[in-house]
Amino acid sequence: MLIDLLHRLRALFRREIIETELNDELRFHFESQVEKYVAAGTARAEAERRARMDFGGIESVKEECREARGLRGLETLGQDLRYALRMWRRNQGFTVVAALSVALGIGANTAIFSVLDELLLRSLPVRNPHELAVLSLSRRDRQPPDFFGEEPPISYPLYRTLRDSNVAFAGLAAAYEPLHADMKAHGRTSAASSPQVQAELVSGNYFSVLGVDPILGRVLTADDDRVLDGGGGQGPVAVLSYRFWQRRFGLDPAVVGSSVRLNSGLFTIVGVARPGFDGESVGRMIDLWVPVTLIKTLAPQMDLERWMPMPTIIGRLRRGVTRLRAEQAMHAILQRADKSALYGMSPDELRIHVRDGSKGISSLRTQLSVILIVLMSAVGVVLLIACANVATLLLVRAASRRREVAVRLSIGAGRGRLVRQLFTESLLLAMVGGLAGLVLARWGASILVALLSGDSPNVLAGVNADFRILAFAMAATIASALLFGLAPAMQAARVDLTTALNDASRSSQSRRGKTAARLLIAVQVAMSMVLLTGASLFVRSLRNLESLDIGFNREHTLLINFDRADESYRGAKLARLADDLERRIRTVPGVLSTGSATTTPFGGRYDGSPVKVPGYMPRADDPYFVNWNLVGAGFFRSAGLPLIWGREFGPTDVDRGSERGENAAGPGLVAVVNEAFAKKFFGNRNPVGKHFTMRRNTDVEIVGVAKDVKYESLRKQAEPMIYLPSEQDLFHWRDLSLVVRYAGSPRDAAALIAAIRSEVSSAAVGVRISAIQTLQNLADRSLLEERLAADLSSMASLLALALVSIGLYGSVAYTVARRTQELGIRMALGACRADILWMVLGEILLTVGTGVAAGVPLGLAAVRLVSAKLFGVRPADPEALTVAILLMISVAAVASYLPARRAAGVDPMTALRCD
Amino acid sequence: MAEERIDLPQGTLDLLILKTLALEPQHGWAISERIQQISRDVLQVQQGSLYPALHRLERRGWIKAHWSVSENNRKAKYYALTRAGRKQLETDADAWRKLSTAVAQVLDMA
Repeated sequence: MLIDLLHRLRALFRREIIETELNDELRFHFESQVEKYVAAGTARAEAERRARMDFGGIESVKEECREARGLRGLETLGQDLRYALRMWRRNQGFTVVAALSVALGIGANTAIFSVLDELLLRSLPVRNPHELAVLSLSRRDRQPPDFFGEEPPISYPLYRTLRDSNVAFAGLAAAYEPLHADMKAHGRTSAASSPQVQAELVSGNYFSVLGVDPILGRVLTADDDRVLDGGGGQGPVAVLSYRFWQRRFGLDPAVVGSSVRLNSGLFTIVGVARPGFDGESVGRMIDLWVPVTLIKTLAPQMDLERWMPMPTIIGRLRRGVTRLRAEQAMHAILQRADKSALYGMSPDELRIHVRDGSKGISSLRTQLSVILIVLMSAVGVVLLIACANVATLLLVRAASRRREVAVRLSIGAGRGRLVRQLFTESLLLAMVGGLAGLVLARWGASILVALLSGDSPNVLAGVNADFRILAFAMAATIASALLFGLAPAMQAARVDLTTALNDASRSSQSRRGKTAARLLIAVQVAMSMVLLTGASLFVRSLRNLESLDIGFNREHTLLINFDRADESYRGAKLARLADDLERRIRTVPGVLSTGSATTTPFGGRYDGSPVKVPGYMPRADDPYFVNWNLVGAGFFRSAGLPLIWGREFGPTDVDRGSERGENAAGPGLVAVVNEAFAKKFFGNRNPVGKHFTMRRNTDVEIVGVAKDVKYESLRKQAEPMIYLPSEQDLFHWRDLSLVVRYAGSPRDAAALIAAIRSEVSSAAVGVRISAIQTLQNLADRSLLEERLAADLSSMASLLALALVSIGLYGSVAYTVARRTQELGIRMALGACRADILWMVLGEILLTVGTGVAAGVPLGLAAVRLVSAKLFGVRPADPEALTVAILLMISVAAVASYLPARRAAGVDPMTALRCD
Repeated sequence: MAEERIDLPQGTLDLLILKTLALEPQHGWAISERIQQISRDVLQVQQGSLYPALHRLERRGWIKAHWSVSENNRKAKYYALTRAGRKQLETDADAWRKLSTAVAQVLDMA
């Protein structure tokens, strides 16, 4: 095989040498033959004549030798390529348009694919990823969740039980959500700049279960789990990710053994994990790993033993154990688990799930997988349109090359050879387009990653043009070439010699080619209609969500979440701190008012209690908890949250509670509830003055009803919510967030945020800001998926429209040029310009109309698949459809009117005279 | 004499070339002479097919070529059997023997 190839290549590049050698070899043979005859006594002249006769035609022998050497295949390829380039130079306009079409199609596909591949298809870069499995719980009375939707997480105590008593897994690891921690490298970074790092808290066996080795030093081991609260062994340890080691420490090996300060704790760096491993979650870059047993060092409010949730439980199945068997085994262990490890639920209320873990866990994947597949299909359609477009142009051009093809056929070229040569042209075109597409894709993918990342850096840093991406682009290129090149090539070679060579029949172009071109245009129009319909629905959904009432005033609101430095900041101590912080923040110019809360929109922090309302019969699907929110004095004003009934809290309410224990007697609490609460428990009647009990029989009186707030997501209906004055419920007050009302435009927010940050850092030692963001930004960020869908599907539709109009313009212009003579005759016989214009336009608009008619039901069927992703519009929204149809028809009309007008402007005399 | 000569069946020329080269490296003319001699002039190698066959065998890697000086002091292209060629010769010769025995048996039946 290799020898064969080497020979062929040598044949191609060293043609002259081979020709000389062939000549020498044959001449030697000839002369030896002559000498043989001379030696036998023949006269020299006669001997030469006989030798020549023996030999036969020397040129044909040479040709056969060349063929035997495999010279032909590559040589004809070379000829074809040279010919193709020559044709390109002659038709530069066509070449540029066609290559650009392919480039846009392939670029868009490769860009989306590279993100889709990273997020959806790629296995974790660990040993035998297919052995990994992910564990989760669900409540029996519900449908299986999408991972951790609203289901109870596995608590640390339950994890420990599962880990220690299981036989199905070779190992079971746990991880807590990464914390943002302040890091100070000892003696390296100045104290002033203490950038935040993403620290993931993991079980000690995390690395050995995943099969990730260190590149330097060591990774965490099960021993590190035993180091509770930093005592014993090596003390608190941390492992760096390679990316972080590179970014922060410049790959300095001396970093192992040195110490860094994370929040308030000192950690020894013991090693660096293998490059390429950024944690078990795709789309999240971890800077360093710390044993989860050290959680109090980083976040003092956390307590492993008390119901601490472990969002990620990932295990490596023993050889031969299926996920189903593992699920049964884990279920048996779950039945024996203690109630205290199950958030007070009993084991038979719960189910345990063992799912494929080869690709790790990714919230970004859960969030975006559907939309990425939708977008991938959309750009796939764009590529199809691009192919149909190029095929149309090729077909149209094939008509002009009929004479050339006929001449070549009549002087003896094989039809197969011609198809091959025409197809080589297409393939070359696709290659050039594909290459340009790759450049576009790199650019597009980086934009896409930036869009996905928002303000958190580094998300999906793994998206790179690697082998898989190149292979995809290559496959797409070749598939495109086959799609748009093969049919026109066959069509072109199927020329009837006598009519093609006959000049007079020039205008009666191949009917089949014409029909094919029209069909392709109709197909392009239909596919564009699908994209347009989808895009207009996505855009309307986004508009609906963007203008939705959150409950809070969307503009002029800033939300600050705090982390406490240690556990002592709660209750009265937290209250004093909050007071101080609010006073300081109110001195910042531009701040109008402040109010504290424990739960803020999109803050991801919720508290809840079981609630009993007299006269209300609980239903089976009721959630276990009703959320409550401890709010300070300025809360309702700062949030711009109006009350529908009743009143806000006053100073008298606060005096009622204060520092009571969980079951304290005495006067009850007062609460403001939201509309959803009122509607659910009181059937929308005014509940002011009514009572309910929460926690263990604490009596609560309702004094007001506030408008609903969408705390979790814009799409979800607001859940019942209880607002309690924080000062009145100091026992439960642990978490602090502030709602800040500010004046000025959103553009002033950045300066304001900086001012507040410096004010807070100069004041408080007990808390630090974990997040500070305008509500507008948070809301926008929560619409990532919707915005992605709307923006990218609009871009795909615009691309499709552009391609279709190029195709229409090209083919109409061409048809008109070919029919000049016919049009001239018609005009000479009395047709007026308008007649001609309508004749040309009518034909093309009929084609477009057919495409639209086919595209509408197709589009309706397609958007039904994504109806779950729409908001506030039905899939068969008449407005969206009308927009799509009008847009399509007007673009088509403009693209065909311009060349048609030229046709109408033909001078009959010139037309008749032209060849 | 001409009537006694037989045209080679398809594919046998390759086998004969390999066999000839198995004895020693040779140039093209000598190969055709050798085949003719050994077959006592019964087998006549068409020169028009000898050279394409040589080039084909070389491309397949069964023989390799080098330039050398001939017995009458002229530059000539010599062909030699490669290891792959030797293996091929064994397989082909075997197949040929089986075929000819079988054909002979069928013909002898009557």
